[in-house]
Amino acid sequence: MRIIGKVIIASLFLLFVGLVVLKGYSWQQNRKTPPQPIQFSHEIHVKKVGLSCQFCHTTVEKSTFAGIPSLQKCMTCHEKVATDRPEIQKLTRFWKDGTPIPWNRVYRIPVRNHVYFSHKRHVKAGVECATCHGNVEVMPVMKRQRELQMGWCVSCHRANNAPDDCLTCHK
Amino acid sequence: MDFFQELFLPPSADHLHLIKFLLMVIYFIHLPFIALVIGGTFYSLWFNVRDGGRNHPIYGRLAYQVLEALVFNKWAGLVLGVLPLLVIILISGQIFYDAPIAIVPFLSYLTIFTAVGLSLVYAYQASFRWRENNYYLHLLFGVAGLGMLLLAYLLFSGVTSLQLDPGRWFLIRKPTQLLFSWNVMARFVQFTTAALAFSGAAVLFFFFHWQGGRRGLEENYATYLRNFAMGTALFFTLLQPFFLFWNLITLPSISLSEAVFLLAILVIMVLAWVGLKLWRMVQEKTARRGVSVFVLYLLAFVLMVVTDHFALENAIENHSALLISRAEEVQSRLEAEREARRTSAIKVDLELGKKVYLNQCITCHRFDQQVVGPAYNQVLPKYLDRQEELVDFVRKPRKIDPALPPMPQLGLKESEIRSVVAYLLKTFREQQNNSTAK
Repeated sequence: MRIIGKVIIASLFLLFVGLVVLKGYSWQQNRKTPPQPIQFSHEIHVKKVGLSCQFCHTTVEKSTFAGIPSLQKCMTCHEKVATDRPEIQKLTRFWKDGTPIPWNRVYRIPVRNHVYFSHKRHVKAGVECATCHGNVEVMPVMKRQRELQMGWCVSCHRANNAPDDCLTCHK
Repeated sequence: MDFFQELFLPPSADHLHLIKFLLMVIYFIHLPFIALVIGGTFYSLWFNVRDGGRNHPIYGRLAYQVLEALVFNKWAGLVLGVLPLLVIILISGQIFYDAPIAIVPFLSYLTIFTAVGLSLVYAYQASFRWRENNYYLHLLFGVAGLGMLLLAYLLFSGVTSLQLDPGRWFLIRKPTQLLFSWNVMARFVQFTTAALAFSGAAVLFFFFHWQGGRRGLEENYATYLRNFAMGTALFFTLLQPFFLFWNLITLPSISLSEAVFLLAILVIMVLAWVGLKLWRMVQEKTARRGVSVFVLYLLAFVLMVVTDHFALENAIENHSALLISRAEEVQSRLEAEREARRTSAIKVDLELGKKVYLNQCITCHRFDQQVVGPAYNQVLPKYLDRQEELVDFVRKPRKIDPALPPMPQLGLKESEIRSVVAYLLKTFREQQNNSTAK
C-alpha cells in the first residue's frame, strides 16, 4: 500500500514533467526569432537613421503585402555606407551574385490558406504598425510579438467597430 | 485615467531592473500571506459550519484556533496584506509607464477589495467572542470576507495574466473584461488550491512544530487536527501539477522561454517531493516532517513567483526596451540643453570639425559628388550667410529632397556641431576661392 501510493504519486508528477517538456519542445519548434542570413537591425534603421516603415516596406499602403525591400533599395545607401562591416559585405555579395536574400519569415497567419488579410485595409483604417508588430524601433533582432490568433483579430475588430462577419476574413 | 499616468516618470535601465526585482520580493512576501488568510478562513468556516454554533469539543475549538494560527492579527493584515499592494501599484505604474494598459486602476480596485476582505476576516476573528449571541452574523463576516478575498485574487489573476499578453493590453478597459480567459481561470484555481494545500502544511507547522508545538492539546483533538491537515495538504498538493500545466499551456507564447519551462519543471519536482513526504506522514500517522513540508511549500511559492517574473520579463521585453530608449533620449536632450546654456563652454574648433567630417559626414556626403546625400557644392551655397540654419539642420535633420533617404540624427555635441559647420563652410569658401583664382 505504502509503496503503491508512492509510485502513483511519483508517476503523477513525472507525467506532468513530461507534458511540460513536450509543451516546451513544441514551443521551441515555432521560433519567435528565426535565424536570418544577415543580422539586419531595425533599431539602427528606424531609431538611428530615422527611416519610416514605408521607406522600405513600400507596398504596405497599396497592397495586401507590406513587401520586403529589394536588394537595390539596400544598395542605394550601402554601396557607400558602412561597407567595412561584415554584415554589409554579406549584403554586397548577394548583390554582386544577383541572388535575393533568403530571409526567413517572422510573421505568418497560422492557417494561411483560409484567411484573407490585407495590410492596405489596416493601414488605411489607421492601425499603427506597432499594434501587431510591436515597437520595431527598439528591436536589434526582429522578434514575433503576436501570434495572430483568430480570437485576437476578432476582439480588435469588435473594439474598433470593424466588421466581424466570417466572410470578412474567410473568403 | 490620465491622472495616474502623470504621477510617474519614465524609468531608466538600472531603475527598471531594480524595481522589477523589488516587485518579485514583494510578491513573495505578499502571496504566501494571502494564501494563509484564504486557506485559514476557509478551513475555519468549514469547522464552524460543522459545529453549527453548538460548541462541539473539536469543531468549535478548531474553527477559532486554525483561524488564529493562520491569519495572525490585523497588523499583519496591514503590513503583509495591504501595504505590499500599495507598493505594487507604485512599481507597476513605472514598469508599465506609457503602456496602453489600465494597470493602476485595476490594481487599485484589487487593493480596495483586499483591504475590505481582510477587515471582514479580522471582524470574523473578533466576533468569536459573541458567537453564541448572533451565530449567523458572525458566520456572515467570515463568508463575506472570504468571498471578497476570492474576488480580489480573481482580479489579481486577471491583472497578472493581462500583463503577460501585450497584444491584449489596449483591448481590456473594464475590470470585468479581465476575468474571461482560460489563463485567468487556471491561475485562479492554481492559486486557491495552492493556498489550501499550503494552509494545511502551515497548520502542521504552527500546531506541532513552531516553538516546540502547542501545549495542552488533548490527544483526540490533536489526532483529528493532524489527520485533517495532512489529508487536505496532500489532496490539494496532488491537484497542483494539473493546474500548473493548465496555466502554462494557456500562457501567451510571447511570455514563454526556456527558463519558464525549466522553472515550471522545478516547481513540479518540489511539489512531488512535498507530496511524497505528506504521503509518508499519512502512512506513519505522525507530524514529524511538518517543518520540511512547510519550508518546501515556501520554496515552491518562491519558484512560482520567479517563474512569473521570467514570464513577465519576456512579455514586456519590447516595452522595457522602448522605455529605456526614451529615458536615454530624455537624458541626452537634457545634456544637450545644459551644454547649450553654457555658451561660453562651446568652442568652435576647426580641427574638431575636420575630425567629425571624416568620421561621420563623409560616409554620405562629398563636396563634389552625390553619394547617399547630396554633394556639398550643391547644398552649401544657400547656407553661406545663414550659418545658424545649418547648425539647426545638423542638430535636427529633416527631409528636404524627397528622392533621397532622410539624414539621421547624429547625436553630436553642440561644440561638435558648431565646429563641423564652421569647417564645412570654411572649406567650401576656400575651394570656391581657389577655383575663381584659377
